[in-house]
Amino acid sequence: MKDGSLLGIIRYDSKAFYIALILHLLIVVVLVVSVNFSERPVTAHKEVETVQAVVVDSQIIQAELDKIKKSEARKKQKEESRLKKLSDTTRKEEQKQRQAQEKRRLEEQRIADLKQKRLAEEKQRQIESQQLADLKKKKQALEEQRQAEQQRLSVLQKERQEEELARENAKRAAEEEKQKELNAQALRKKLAEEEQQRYLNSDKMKKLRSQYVKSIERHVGKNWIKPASANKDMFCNVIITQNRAGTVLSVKTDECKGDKAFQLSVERAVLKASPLPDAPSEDVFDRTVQFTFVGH
Amino acid sequence: MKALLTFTCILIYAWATPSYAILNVEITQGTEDALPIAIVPFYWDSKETAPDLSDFNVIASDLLRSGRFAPVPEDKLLSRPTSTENLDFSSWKVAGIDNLVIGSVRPAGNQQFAVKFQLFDVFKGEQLLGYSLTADASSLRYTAHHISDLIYQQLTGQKGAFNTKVAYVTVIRDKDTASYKLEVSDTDGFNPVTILTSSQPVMSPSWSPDGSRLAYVSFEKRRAQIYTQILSSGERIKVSEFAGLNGAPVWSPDGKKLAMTLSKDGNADIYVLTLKDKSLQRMSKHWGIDTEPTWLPDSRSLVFTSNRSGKPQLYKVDGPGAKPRRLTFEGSYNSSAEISKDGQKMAFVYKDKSAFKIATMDLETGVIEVLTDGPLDESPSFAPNGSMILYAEGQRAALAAVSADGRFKQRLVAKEGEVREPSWSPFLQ
Repeated sequence: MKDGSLLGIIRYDSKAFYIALILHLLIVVVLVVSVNFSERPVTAHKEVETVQAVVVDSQIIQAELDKIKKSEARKKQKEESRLKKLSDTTRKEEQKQRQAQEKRRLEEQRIADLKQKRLAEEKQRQIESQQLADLKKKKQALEEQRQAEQQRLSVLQKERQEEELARENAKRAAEEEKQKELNAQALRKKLAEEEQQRYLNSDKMKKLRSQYVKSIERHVGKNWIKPASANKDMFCNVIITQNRAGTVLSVKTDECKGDKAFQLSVERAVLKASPLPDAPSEDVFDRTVQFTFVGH
Repeated sequence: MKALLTFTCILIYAWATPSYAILNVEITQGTEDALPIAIVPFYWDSKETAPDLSDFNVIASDLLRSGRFAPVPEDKLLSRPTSTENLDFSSWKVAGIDNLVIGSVRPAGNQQFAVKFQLFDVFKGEQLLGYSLTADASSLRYTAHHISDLIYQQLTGQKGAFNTKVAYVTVIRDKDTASYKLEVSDTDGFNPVTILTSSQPVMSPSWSPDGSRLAYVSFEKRRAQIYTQILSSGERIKVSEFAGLNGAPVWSPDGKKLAMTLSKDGNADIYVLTLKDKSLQRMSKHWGIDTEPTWLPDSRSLVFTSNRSGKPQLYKVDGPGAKPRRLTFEGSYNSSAEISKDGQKMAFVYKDKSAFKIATMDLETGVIEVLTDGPLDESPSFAPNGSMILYAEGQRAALAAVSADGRFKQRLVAKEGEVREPSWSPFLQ
């Protein structure tokens, strides 16, 4: 729009010009029609009548006026009612809307609350979870510590056991050594004794001893006067000691199953038999002789 | 470990059989020699006039008679110690005297004496017995016998029987007449007391087990009758006068019965009379002569003489109705049995060839031991301790004693006339 004139506008934008023109025309039409749209036939009539109006009496005009007034009142009322109605509906609608809004608000509030709550819960859960995790961690730490301690103890114990075992082994070894020595001693002693025994058991020694025992037996037997009460169930063990010359130094009655007379008789027998026969060899001599007297 | 055990065993074994094991000598063959004993005559331990102390000599004779002691003859005593102060055992030891008895007597007032004695074991040098007893003049001999009993018991282990009695019959013949006496004396023949005198035969005295009575056969009524007589009072009871023989009464060990020989049923058989109710049980029934019953300790079984085999032999019957069993097979004549109180031995008259001797039989083994030489020994009777047997010896019929082992024989105090059928009393209270 170089010039800014109406024509320039039309040329520049004819389409918009025509749309604006039409719109204006339309508004005029609407305004005319709208004054009388409920009495359209009347309007038409009126136009016809308008020419006549000049000729019509005031009464009719009045009536017409009343009629218009009434219609306008009615219209107004209607409008008012409509408005009212519209207002009511709007109010209701608003209320409803408000209610819905309220409800929505509440719902939203609730949801928000819930959300909040859930959030809180979530947070709590997270806290707890955290705590739990911490606890677990702590526990694990403790467990590990315990295990470590146990490990340490077990190692210690093992060490101690090993020490003990070593000590025991040493002790046993020492004992075994000692026992071996003892056994060896016993063996030596036994061998020596066996040697002695072999010597003593040699035929010659046996014969000598047998002769010696026999001579003692005969000698003591001669001196033993059996009491009348003596019977086969009676016996007396008498242990004597003698010196090398055969003199009886002591007489001790050991086990004796017999009456007083029997015991007296055997004790007297060994005393009376003193000195006992001379031992034919030093090796068959014994300071201690045990006699067994049998009642027969 | 096993090696250790083995070594331990070896050790124990080594200990258990030391090479220095003491000599072990078993003596079974002792002697049955008489025990040497010195009995120092008892001395009068007072300034008063000494009474006759010879009664104490019976200690030595009692011990000698038992066969178990060898008292040193008085004239061989080495010394005569009177108390323990002047005792020297060594000399007695050297002499081989095992035991020594010393004793003393002193007045104890009231005509009483205090008799003290001690028995010593010479080899041990110990006192074995020591007693102080009271006696009067009349009981000195009794006291001496009592001392014999105490010594005997101490050294032999058996109860002494020196203070017991013997009952026997003496017969004094004078041409056509004879005098019969039932007497009781000490077992050495001293102190005879006449129980019954009769011109007719008196036979078979038997002691009641309590020693208070005698049963015997008397022909005083010209027929055989059996009496029991209380010794202390002389009171007597006629217990049997059946037709025919009434002989050989013997008191049962329980004192309730008399076994005897009766011929009331034909010929001589053994019967048992129960004294309380006079009931009679027949113990043998045979055409042979059964006589001289003697009891075994059970007061039920009897041994008797019977000639059922042709010659007299001894039989045992275990009760009424039991079948008699012959005990003797050795010798042609065995009779007049008596069983020792312990039931182990039977003494009887045993004839070999021509001599009648006293023998014993061990009832367990049946072994016979002849104790005397005869030629006419009869009526053996055991001492209550079984150590000795009294019997009537020889043609002269004297009272004699033999030790149960036959080692010692002694004719007792000579009696006027014949002595028959001695019966040794039980132990007396």
